[in-house]
Amino acid sequence: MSVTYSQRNTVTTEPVHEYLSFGLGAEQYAIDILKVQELRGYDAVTRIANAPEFIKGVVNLRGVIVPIVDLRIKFSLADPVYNEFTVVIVLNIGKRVIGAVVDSVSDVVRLAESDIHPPPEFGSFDTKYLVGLATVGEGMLILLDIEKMLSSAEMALVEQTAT
Amino acid sequence: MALDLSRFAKAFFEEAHEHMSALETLLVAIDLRAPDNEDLNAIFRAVHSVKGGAAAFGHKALSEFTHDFESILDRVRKGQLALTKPRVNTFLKAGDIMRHHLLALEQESPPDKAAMDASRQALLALSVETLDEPLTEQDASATVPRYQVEVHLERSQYGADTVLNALKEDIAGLGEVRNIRTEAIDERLIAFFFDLDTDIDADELRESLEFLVPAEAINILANERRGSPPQSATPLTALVDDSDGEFGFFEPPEPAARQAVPRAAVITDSDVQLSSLVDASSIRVNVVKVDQLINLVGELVIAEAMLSLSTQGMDPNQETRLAAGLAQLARNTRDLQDAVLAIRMLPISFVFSRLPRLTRDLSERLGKEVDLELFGEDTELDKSVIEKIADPLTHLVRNAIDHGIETPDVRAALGKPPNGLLTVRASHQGGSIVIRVTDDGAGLNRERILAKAQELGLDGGETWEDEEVWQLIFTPGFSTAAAVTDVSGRGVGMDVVWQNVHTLGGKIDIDSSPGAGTSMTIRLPLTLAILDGMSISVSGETYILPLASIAQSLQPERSDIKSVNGNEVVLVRGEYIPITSLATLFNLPASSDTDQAILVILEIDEKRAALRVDELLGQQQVVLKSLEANYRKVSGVSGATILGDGRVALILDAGFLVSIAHSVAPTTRVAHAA
Repeated sequence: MSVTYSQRNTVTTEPVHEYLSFGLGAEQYAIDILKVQELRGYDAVTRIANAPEFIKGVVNLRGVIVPIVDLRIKFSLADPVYNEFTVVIVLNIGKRVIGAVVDSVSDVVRLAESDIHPPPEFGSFDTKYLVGLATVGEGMLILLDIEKMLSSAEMALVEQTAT
Repeated sequence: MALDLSRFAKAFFEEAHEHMSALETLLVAIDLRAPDNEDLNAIFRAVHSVKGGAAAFGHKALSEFTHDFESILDRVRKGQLALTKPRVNTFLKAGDIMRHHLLALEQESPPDKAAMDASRQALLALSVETLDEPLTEQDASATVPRYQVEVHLERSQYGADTVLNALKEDIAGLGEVRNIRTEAIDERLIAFFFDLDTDIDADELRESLEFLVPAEAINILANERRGSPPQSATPLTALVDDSDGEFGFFEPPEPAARQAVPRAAVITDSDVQLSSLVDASSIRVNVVKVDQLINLVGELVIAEAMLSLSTQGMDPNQETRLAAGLAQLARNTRDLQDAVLAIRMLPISFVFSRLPRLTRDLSERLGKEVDLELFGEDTELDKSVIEKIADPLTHLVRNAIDHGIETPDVRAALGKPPNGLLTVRASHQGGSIVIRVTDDGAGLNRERILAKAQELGLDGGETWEDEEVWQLIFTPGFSTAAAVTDVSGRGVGMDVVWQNVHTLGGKIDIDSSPGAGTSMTIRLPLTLAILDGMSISVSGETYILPLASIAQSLQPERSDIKSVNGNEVVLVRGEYIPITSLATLFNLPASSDTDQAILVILEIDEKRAALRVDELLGQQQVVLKSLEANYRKVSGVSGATILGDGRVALILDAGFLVSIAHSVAPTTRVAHAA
């Protein structure tokens, strides 16, 4: 695919998807907005014994027990600070509901297929959960395949033998 | 068309399964010497209804099979074919075949054609047997009433053509169809007429048509000139419609259309409708919806708890109305919760209903005579419990017939009545349900069980109490049956029964005396949705322990705690019990003051372990929530719940904690069943 950055507002017939962008440390990430159920504050998390460090525990979301993953710890990007501004993005991954802790939620951005650049090859960095990179204004957004990432074995969120 | 029919297909399968269950129940219960006519009719109708549906949905093999089946049943109900035990067996077998066929169709897997053919041959053989009982001329004409049928179809609702085509296919499968014609009544309605020669009666014809069109839209005229009117129809004189000629919500049709069906002979549906409305006292609801309701009510309970928590400090004299309102809210919330949980409760007859057939088949195979008595069929328990108790209960009944009850000659020699008596009784006792399976058979054989235990290298001796000896039969691989039969004796089963009952949080007691019989008592919690729990606190975290697993709690003297090979044990009533620290197990920061620690003694299947906790917070009923729905299984945790303050608390798996304690520290008393 030949990648050219097309101006946003140009009239194209190609489908445009909406993404939710959020900050993890100094970096800006974005995920498919259709996976997002709601946003809520970080509050009253119950620890789960012997879970990986990035799984903070479970919360009660209107009667449903929802696990909370801290993406900042997972990506080792920022010191995890929990205060009244900490945001949890509640995601629908398959039939599951999972909460992801981020530093801040920024915006909803509309991106066309041609706006998204394939991720460059990094020597050390694992790019298998990256959809690509997109330039928005001055900044760059890292597009995550959140579904693939959260249902992967390394996240230990899903019983692997069960599926 | 495919779209329209698929909507009904599910209903067809559900109804068909209900019909098959009814068929089986009726056949098993039927009195061979003096069968009740109503029952015979009901049996016929069950098969017939499935046939109608099968034809409508184009399940050719099934409709042909049911056609032959119902022909035989029709003779039975007319008294032309006597009921005998082998014949009833053939019918039961045919019922099973239909059931399997239906399941196969539902799952879209290939049905077992060979079995069906074999059963069909058996049925046809029955009809050959009766050839020497010729039908009289009168019988023949009585079986073929002729119908003039008028069906009204609504144009707008869904393509009338689609329904019309389905109807045509449907009626073609019922008998000889003539004079098909359609007429427009108005912009909305089309009238569809046909004449039908068939041997089914009006009710059944109506039932088959109701798969496709609403009941109000069907008029069936039974023609009098062909013998007697169908037996189940109301006398025609009673059917003179003296209202203004409206039926249902349909506008009166044009006089031209009306003429086709003489008014005096129209069987309107109003009477039938009324009675079916009265009968419709229950509705079919998806369990998911009920669970949603339970969740929401759980939320309401929590919200109510939070509200009353935050208003605790206020002065009730100043805020009288608020306080009264809160009290009212609290009461209503509890009532609502009880009512909602009651929706999930089903009568245990769902499980009991399969026992008569099982008893019948098994006693026949084993050459035994067994009378089965069921009590407390209306006892209600949670749906999830019902599902899980069915297999263990079946197994206990099977065991009682196979091992317990003796053959008639042995019984006669012992001076017992030749028919063994098997009693299954369900009742509520406090917060649990008790199911007792009692037989008047040989009883458990103490010597044989002990000998077998020795053979398997298990503990057990002459000094053991009977109750302890009986518990040995729950050991995997344990069977004292003299011969392995296809019924039992392989030694799998009782351990599975035990497993199932224990996963439900219940227990089994055995009472047996030689020669007089055995009684097995299963005790189960009423529901799996609610648990009596003890909240405990460890390193600032709150956990719930199932109250049923707690034997006692104590604050030990320092001198009572000893060390065995680095593992701590505590001396309680002369027994050394291993201590487990939840803080260590769950990698929690250890609490500073171990002197203040409280030990909770957990007891699961005679094994004990002491759990060190910081504080006992109190006893409460908690609503069980799944942790696995969105997360995964966590070892040591059996589920989660939501506390009054809205936080999640994990429910500890007492069985796991006890077994962990025993795997790291040697036990002072080796459990026999290990």
